[in-house]
Amino acid sequence: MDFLLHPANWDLTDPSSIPYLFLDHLYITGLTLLIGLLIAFPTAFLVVRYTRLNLPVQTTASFLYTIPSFAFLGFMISITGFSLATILVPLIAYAQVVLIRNIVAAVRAVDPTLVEVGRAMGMNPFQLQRRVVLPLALPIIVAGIRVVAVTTIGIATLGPYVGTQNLGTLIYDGIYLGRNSEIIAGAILITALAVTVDLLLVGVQRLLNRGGQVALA
Amino acid sequence: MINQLQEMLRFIQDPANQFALRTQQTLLLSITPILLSMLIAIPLGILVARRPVAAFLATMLSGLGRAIPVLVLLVVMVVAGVGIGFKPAVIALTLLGIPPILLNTIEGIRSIDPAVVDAARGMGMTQRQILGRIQIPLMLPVLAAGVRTAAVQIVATSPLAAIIGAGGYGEYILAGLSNLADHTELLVGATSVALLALATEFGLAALQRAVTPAGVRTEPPAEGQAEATPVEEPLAA
Repeated sequence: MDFLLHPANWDLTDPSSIPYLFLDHLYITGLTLLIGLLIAFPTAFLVVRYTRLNLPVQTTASFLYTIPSFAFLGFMISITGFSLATILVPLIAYAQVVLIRNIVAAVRAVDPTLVEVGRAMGMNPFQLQRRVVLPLALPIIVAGIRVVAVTTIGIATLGPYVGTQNLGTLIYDGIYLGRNSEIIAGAILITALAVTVDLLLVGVQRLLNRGGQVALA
Repeated sequence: MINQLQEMLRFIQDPANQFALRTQQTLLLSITPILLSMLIAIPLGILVARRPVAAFLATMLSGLGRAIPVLVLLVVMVVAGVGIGFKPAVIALTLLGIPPILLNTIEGIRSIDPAVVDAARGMGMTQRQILGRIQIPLMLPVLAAGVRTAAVQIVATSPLAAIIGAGGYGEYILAGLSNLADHTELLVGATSVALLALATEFGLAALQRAVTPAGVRTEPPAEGQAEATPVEEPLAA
């Protein structure tokens, strides 16, 4: 506990103090989700539109997901060295299987009658996606985002092994220097972050679900 | 590329690199936690499945437990005084394997339609026959799915155990990370780990299909049709 509570570790002038490590962790998680979604959305819509793509896309995503994180990082190091891409590429790759599968399932679950109603009201294809399909699909998509966020926070802790600092640095340094209090600080902060994000997104899911039921009634 | 492969083969064949020992360590680090988590989670699941409060608690704790990153589980063992090496790694990996098996045992038992059990009883089956011919065959596919998730997770995570000194292929990756001039050791570790994980995934997927009774086997989705089940729980990583 003494490491976690020591004022020197919260010093804002030190770029490797706990607040910065925390922000680094949020940054890598946010960036993974952002780029992950930017890839997953168009891919998933293509899969929904052209069902023949489904099998190759899902198989590729599942295959990438099966590669253990430590092995993936090892392969990446031999290509990108100690750069941010080394940790970011595996995280984004892992996110795809869940994001694509959930977006596809969510969009397919939208009642075609409602899309028909939207079209009859004079909506153009973009408005149909934006105002009918997306709101109805959102709860399932958020469920996927939640799984990805928690997984990403966990795997990102390996960052310091490939040269990217975040809360995992506390564990890495703690092991390297044999400082148990630092390891404990890292373990507490990482777990707290993962559990908080998990619960927050459960809350968002609940809110959206209620909205969905209201809209359907 | 070819050169790199030759280097890797030479690395594996060099007795100084102890490839056989690392393989043995990796297998032990994977199989022991898989068996232990089955031994703990299956009886526990059977015990709590029909008790709503206990089942709710087990489900909730398992869900929260999944949010704890594996690296945290591993290092907490060390700090908690279990020490370093094989033992703390096995405990951490067992803890990792329990939630998916526990959840699927509960789910498997609950998914059995009471009407089917009633029908069996109506046909004059004894309690023993109902268990052996109806309940176990019906829950086995769900349970097998849980074991597969747990096993793939454990195999995929076992290289991280090298961080707390448990040996295995992870040692090659760890050592390789501090020798960036030559990628051979790193690539040997990463390739071995990846191949083992893929073999586990495909082997257990086949096993899962084998234990699914023909009557409850769902038709494989038609060519190109999307699998429509969204993901609500972490998949095997």
